[in-house]
Amino acid sequence: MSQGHSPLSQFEVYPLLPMTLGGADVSFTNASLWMLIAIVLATSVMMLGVRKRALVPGRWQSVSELMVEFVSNIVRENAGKEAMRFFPLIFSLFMFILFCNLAGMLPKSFTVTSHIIVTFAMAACVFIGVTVIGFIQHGLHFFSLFLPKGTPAWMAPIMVVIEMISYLARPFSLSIRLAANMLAGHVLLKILAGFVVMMGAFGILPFGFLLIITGFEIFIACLQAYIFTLLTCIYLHDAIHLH
Amino acid sequence: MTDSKTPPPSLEELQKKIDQLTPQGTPDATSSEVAGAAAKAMRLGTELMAGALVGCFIGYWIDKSATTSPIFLIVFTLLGFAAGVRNIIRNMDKV
Repeated sequence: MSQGHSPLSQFEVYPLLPMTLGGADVSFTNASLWMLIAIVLATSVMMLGVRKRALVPGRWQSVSELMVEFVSNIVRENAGKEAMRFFPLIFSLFMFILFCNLAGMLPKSFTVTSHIIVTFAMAACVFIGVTVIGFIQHGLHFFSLFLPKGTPAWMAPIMVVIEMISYLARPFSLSIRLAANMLAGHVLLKILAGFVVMMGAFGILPFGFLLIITGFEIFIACLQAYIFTLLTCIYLHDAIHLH
Repeated sequence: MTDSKTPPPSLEELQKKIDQLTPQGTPDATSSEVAGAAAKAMRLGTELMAGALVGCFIGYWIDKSATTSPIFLIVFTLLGFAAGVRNIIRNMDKV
């Protein structure tokens, strides 16, 4: 069973409905399918939750209220009250990443967030959006972000370059962190599962380990969604308040 | 508490009962504190790597367009490291 099964084959993107648009390949792939599933799951959790609008929440309503509370606390604590304007965007981002990560934990599924192009697209949207918001709020004064207060004059040129690089590094660190964590976790699970099959009767040892790692991966899936949201809020704070 | 037909206890009484049953002493670390600490730890590595990577890219790009290889590649990679370290220090202060 483990023969001919590379631990990386789970990340293969293949078209389900081949389509082309003006020469470009716009096929509906398994990645698209799992993104769609994540969106449907996230939407139905929220919709089912608020369907009754009870004063004393039931189970589903508690789940959806908890998520809204959680994200709105992150926004308020890390980006300030003014940033609550962007709450719908940040909440959608959180729910999408969370449900993509969690859907990836299902057997036979495809983890959309393990592909760096997906996470980089989201990180680039956040980066460009935050920069535009900064320029709208502060105009050219936004460039003062690149020169921290109290920098000695002789340090200023080198400091501007360093700050500029650290600003440009944001979308990369944001996207690499999410994709690398999901990729590494799923490869590890696959390899351990291969050991279970190969070791026969002694496979019980890696199986126990696999069980623990699976729980840990679910924790990582939630944590990475949290980190992405947290950092988005911190960047938003920088753009609104300029340090 | 005379018989089983007493009216249901009020919310204050329930709260009193909860307070009584809740163990006293220092509370354990909440789940959000654990998540916060884990989030901090997770961010360090990539922060450093991304800085160096972006510096390297910029240096390579300048070298390619100005044919000064490899001066800017080296300089900007080092600056990228500095940016990564700066990012780590700043974020650790803030969060």
